[in-house]
Amino acid sequence: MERIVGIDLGTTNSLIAYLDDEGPRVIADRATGRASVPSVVAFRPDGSNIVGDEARALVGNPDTTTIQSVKRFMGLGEEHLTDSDRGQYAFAGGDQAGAVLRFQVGDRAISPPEVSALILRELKRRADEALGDPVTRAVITVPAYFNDSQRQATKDAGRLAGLKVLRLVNEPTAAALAYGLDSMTEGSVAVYDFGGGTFDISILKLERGIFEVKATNGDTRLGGDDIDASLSEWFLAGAGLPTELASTREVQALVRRAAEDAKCRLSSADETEMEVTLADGGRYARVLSRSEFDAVIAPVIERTLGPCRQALKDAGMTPSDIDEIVLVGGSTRIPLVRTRVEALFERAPHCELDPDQVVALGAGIQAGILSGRKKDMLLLDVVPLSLGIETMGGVTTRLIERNTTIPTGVVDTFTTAVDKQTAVDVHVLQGERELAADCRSLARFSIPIEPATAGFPRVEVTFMIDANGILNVTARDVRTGQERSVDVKPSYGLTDEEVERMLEESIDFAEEDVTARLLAEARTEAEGMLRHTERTLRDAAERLGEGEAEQIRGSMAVLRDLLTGTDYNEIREQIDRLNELSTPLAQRIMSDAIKGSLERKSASDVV
Amino acid sequence: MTVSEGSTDTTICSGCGMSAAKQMVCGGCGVVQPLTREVDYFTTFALPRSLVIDLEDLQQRYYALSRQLHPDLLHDRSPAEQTAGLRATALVTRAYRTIKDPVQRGLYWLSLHGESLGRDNERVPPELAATVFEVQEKLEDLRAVRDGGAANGVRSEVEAVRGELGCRMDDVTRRLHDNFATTDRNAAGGTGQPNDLAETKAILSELHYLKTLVRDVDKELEAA
Repeated sequence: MERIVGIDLGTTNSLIAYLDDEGPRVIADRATGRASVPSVVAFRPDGSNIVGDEARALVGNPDTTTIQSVKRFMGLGEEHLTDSDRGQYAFAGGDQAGAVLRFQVGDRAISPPEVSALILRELKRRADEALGDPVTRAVITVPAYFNDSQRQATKDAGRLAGLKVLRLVNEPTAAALAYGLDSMTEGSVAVYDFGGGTFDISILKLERGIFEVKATNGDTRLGGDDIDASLSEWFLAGAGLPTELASTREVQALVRRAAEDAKCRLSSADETEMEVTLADGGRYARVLSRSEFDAVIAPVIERTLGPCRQALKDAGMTPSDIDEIVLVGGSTRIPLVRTRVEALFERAPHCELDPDQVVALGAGIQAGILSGRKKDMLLLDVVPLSLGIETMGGVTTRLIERNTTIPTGVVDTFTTAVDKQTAVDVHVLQGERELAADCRSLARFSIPIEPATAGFPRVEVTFMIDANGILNVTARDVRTGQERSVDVKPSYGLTDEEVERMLEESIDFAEEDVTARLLAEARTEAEGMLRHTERTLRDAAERLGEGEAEQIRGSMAVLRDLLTGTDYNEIREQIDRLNELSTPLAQRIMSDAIKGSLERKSASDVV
Repeated sequence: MTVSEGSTDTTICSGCGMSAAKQMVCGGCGVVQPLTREVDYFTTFALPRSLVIDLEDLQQRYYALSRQLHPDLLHDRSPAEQTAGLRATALVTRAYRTIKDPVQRGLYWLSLHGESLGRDNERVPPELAATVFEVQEKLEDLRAVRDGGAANGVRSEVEAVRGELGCRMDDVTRRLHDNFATTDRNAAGGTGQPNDLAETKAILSELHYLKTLVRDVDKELEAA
């Protein structure tokens, strides 16, 4: 059977892994033997692109546009950009509020998911080569503190790279999987994940293969990048570079690069020289001692401690309740980070697993869980930020509290404030702030209703968060009993149509026949559906209602017939119909599972 | 975020996507209704409807159910089964969250017996009136010094109040547990219906209010 891969799509580096009989393993590049792909994309003037080490080498080259740390821009709009972002990159601009931001690359405007997709394609290429079969399904990790838009953007990137994203897994949770499998630890574990661009802290309880997240917190714009920025600032303040040179994008990129290198050297050395050689041969340098380095970066490290305290509090724990601390992410190599974490949790952190690989290894394990290769482990993760809606007076009304275990769902009913209203507007928010304006806007939509006196209509809105932490909203006009269509515009995201169009326009797909690909996909799905349904009918024979089996079999026969044709739309529609028909049976199986375990429990209680 | 409606969505199932989610929360209609009618939050875990529960045991039951129903373990099943698993997991998770917290459990238990805190829930419980007044005053002081500059004296006073509230919460929680045990015994001994729930309600109301108060104090301390 085709393998599912696990991908760590990192701010600085990305990796791909899978699970085999001996455990999770990272796939290294065949030619270079290197495990990680630098998350850097360089665009040449002719529009072609390079990903990884070669792209990183082109940083600061005036003939190419290089994009680093694209992860920091996932799911954002123009209004979220800082001055430093604008100093680093050119943005397309001109879009209205709520639109996804785009980098200006030559005469093209490219969204962050498209850039990420190029990195994913490079990883996929490696896996295709190493595993001998094209990989089409993946688990991708995201920072635990990623909001809905950022998660959605990551899924879009996967799709654009030709991958079906089966699951998004939170990075610290993935790390805990790898750590837990490796050490067989039980108890409370804190994962401190300080990467290139994001910071997460998660507190988990590990017990007999169950990994239950108790609380998570973090900052999606805090990481090694900020340390590099602080160091760059320190360098420019004393290296004697002329101001007019220092402000150019090329020089800034070179200084960043030098800061990054100096930072890495100081993880072991006590002193280093940070130096930059410009294109014109001019050389600038400044000596940096460990203690000076510590002083420069201390404010950045300090910002990670607040979220740690909050997570402990949300988990209802104190530092002494934590049995183990696991360090993840390249930035945890910095000695000051280790000192501070040790002081806060009052115990020495673990770092046996390579902090650069542990997330990818965990993603590989989760891929193994989904494919059924690993049956004894299960993640119970949480939603990192509260979800709610805007109510009268611009106030946030929370419907789902942060750190609620997912999947979860809630239903709320809305009514109108004005007579003869023809629609109810719903503004979906994510965040902890009291005022709607201070929370992250996820979407706005309008539910058409039958006009009536104010207060009479009842619109039922269902929020459902899946295992990926992604929200789904459905709506119904209760009074008329009609399911109404909901028109939604996701904030700062790509619409399905945009993703489709990008797929069709992308160079790689232009070479193959899009229709043929869609047909192949539909056929694969249909075959899977037929197989699963056949199995369900066999296993659940005694649960079938009268005539139910005949109905389902009839629908299966229609689907089989359609498979001999070439209309992928018809196949998809029939899959949907079959799915709808078999839903009541599936639900009975699940309720029986609940009751079944109930009976077994009672029996064992008697014994 | 995606928003879907009725039959246009295939991952979250069509039609019953609505009714099933409704069932999960409030015991609604449609195909899945038998699940809720027979299985309330207690019976979801094969537990009697009692106020005293063994948290360790509850957790084991929760884990056992999750291992059967979680969507991650149903990837080789049909989309309909995956969707049903998603909903069932959401129900189990919600049940667990409610039952494991003593106040939530108490309130839910009351609702199963056709009772609620009613309007008492909005009023300050009489036992707490003086405390609430004192706490609000201290918080007012804290806000005043915060705007005008730091004053550690006021902060430590508020911290002392926070400490007292914590002790009081522990005390009320103990009283709640005692009351739970008594109420369970009464319910089991008599008609199956407890006679006097006034005290249970009063304690629940006090604890509920204390929690809100503590949250407010913590928020101000964080901001200061």
